[in-house]
Amino acid sequence: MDQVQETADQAALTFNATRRRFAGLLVVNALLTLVTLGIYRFWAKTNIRRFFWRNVSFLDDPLEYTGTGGELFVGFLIVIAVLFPLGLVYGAINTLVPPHHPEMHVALEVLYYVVLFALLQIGFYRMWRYRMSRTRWRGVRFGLDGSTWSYLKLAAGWTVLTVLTLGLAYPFMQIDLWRYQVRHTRLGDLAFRFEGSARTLLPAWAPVFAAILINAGFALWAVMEFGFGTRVDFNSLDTAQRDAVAIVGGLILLTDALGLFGFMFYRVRQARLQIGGLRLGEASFRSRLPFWWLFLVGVICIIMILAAFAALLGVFAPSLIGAGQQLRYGGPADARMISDLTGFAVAGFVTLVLLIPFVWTLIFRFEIVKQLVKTTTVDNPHVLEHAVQTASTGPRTGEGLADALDIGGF
Amino acid sequence: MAIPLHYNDGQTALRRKALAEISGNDLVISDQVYRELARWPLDDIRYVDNAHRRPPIRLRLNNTDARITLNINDDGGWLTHKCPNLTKRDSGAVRWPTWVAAGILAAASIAGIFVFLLPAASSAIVGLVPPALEQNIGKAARDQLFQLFGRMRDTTRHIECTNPRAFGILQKRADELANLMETPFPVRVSVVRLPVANALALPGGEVVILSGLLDKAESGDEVIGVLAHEIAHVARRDPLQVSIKQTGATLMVSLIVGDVFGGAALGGLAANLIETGYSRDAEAAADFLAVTALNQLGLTALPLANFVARIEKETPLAGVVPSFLNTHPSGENRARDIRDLSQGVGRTMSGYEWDALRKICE
Repeated sequence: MDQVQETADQAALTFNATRRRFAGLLVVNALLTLVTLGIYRFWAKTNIRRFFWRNVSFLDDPLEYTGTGGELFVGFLIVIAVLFPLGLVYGAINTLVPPHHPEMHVALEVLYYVVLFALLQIGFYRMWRYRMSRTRWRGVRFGLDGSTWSYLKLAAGWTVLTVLTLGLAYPFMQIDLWRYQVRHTRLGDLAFRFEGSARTLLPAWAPVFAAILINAGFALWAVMEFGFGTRVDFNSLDTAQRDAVAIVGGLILLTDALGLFGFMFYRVRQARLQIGGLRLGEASFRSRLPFWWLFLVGVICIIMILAAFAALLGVFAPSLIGAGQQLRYGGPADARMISDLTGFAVAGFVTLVLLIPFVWTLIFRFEIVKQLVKTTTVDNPHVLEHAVQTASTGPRTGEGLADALDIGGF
Repeated sequence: MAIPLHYNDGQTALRRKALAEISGNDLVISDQVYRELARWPLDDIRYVDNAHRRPPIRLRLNNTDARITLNINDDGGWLTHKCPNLTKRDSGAVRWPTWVAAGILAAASIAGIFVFLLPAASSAIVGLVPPALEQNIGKAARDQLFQLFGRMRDTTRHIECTNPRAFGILQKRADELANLMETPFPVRVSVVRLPVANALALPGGEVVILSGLLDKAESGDEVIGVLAHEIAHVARRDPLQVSIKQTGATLMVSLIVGDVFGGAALGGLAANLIETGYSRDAEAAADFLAVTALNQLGLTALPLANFVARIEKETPLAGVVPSFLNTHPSGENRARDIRDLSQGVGRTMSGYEWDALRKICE
């Protein structure tokens, strides 16, 4: 068997995880995170990563995740020490600016988003650095070099360009940032490259861009028709205007639905390009990530979540309406009402916070990982075997910023 | 008996077929022509992944990058019997006492932030806020609160009770008290039609009395006593301090809890539980200031004491809004302190005036 593999010039990534085991992991994670008021989340994330990493194999050997929850926790404490005073100072300044200076409030708001944007980019890049340094294949560490500051500058430039072009530059931004990330990623001493062009994504992006333009056009029409920043009372319009508003509203809804669908399609194409452009010496990657299958799984998932909501409201609607009327007419809150409301709060919490994320992660997010892995093949895979371990072991603590800003998923 | 396995030396990503044999206290790994590749002390052999112990079993040598993979279903028991430290962490990794110490330190510093830093910082910030700004904040808070009340009662029109004669009685006493306590801004009293026995001070001198208080009170003196207490909070600028403190606490809690389980939304709720309104000291100080002012006016503070003691006994769940007075600590003690301080004997209003005041919402 080994002989066959060593001469083969193509190898697939294999995915060995089962939903049954994943479900068990999710339940334990959720319960422990709940009783520790969220502190367990660092260890929960680590468990999930270990699970996925060990279930992805290449040339018969699995990936290995060597990060620990403790590292994530310490990284988080460090970030808290920085972010909390920053937040306090911002809050204090915001309170002290007199309300009759709107331009100062606007400036503060802009400053807030600029800082948030910068922190998001920095957090993202540092997160990848940590993850790569804690990922191994056959004992050899991955790594991410490059500078966070360069990545931030690149991201800032592209974001400005994307806004100025009303989104036309978006695929170019995504691919260029990915190119920077990939070029600085290595397995041992072997550096990855990226060969691919965002131009190939333009056909997939065109419908989304069209939807953005149509929305902008409608917004322009509304400004011309009613003036800027005015709040229009629907009842005060004449019949012709009402018809126009109704038609335009319907068209916008349709455009946005199609635009959203187009974006999901585009997103899958982008992922294919991102994986398919990966090179490592003579080795090259290919991806056949399926759109329709993922779309179907996502739709089924959303239907299940909506059904859960419907069931929740169906059970509690009568008592909620009763309680609402009782309060409205000035009646006192009695024990019955309090127990009804408590029941609703508890059931709502369980549905919203435990059940829905559980279903979404177990069915949809699992499927994305599974398909991403399963549909990836590598030509000339044995190049990877020549990777040589390097001395750099990566950052000592992990991704505090990414956690505080809630990016990065698992 | 040699065990067939795959060996990664930790230097390259090559996978070598190898054989292993136990020799003394070591696992000797050799290639297929029995050249020794590595010698692993049995004590230093660990699972790569503690949660994965089924074949193919992956093992590592402590503190190194080398790995072996066993693809056998039956290891003859050598693994579990002869390698005592399979599930241990790297010896280079942080030991558990360090984690415990770090955890205690972290918990202590978080507690320190809530107990010392937030109250101190919020007091300091209050000193920096100009009174005119606090008045603007108070007006905005009042408008928001009234909108909320209006929605609860499904109307915005008659939410405020404005019977001029009854209102005059309240505002006259409020002005006298505010003058004596030297509030940084004039006090504006409003009465809201809501069946909850409660009164609250907002930033900037906005004092709101809920009509339930007038129903629960046994005399006008009790109402004026409560009013004096709220005006004392205004004079001390407690409402602004509490709102700054709660903002900080919300930020802190949402950072700690993160966004799992809707942490951001729960943050505000949890912060309110931790930083429950005024501190015990602030309450005691407000009582002292209120009773002193009443004494100076020659008015009795005993009805305030009675009211505080009585409201304490009633069920806390009786109100729709969490009762303001519930957050006031130990009603019995407060009542006793107020009685000790009280010197005045004068009534705050005549029987006719009390009758008029009670009908403010009619």
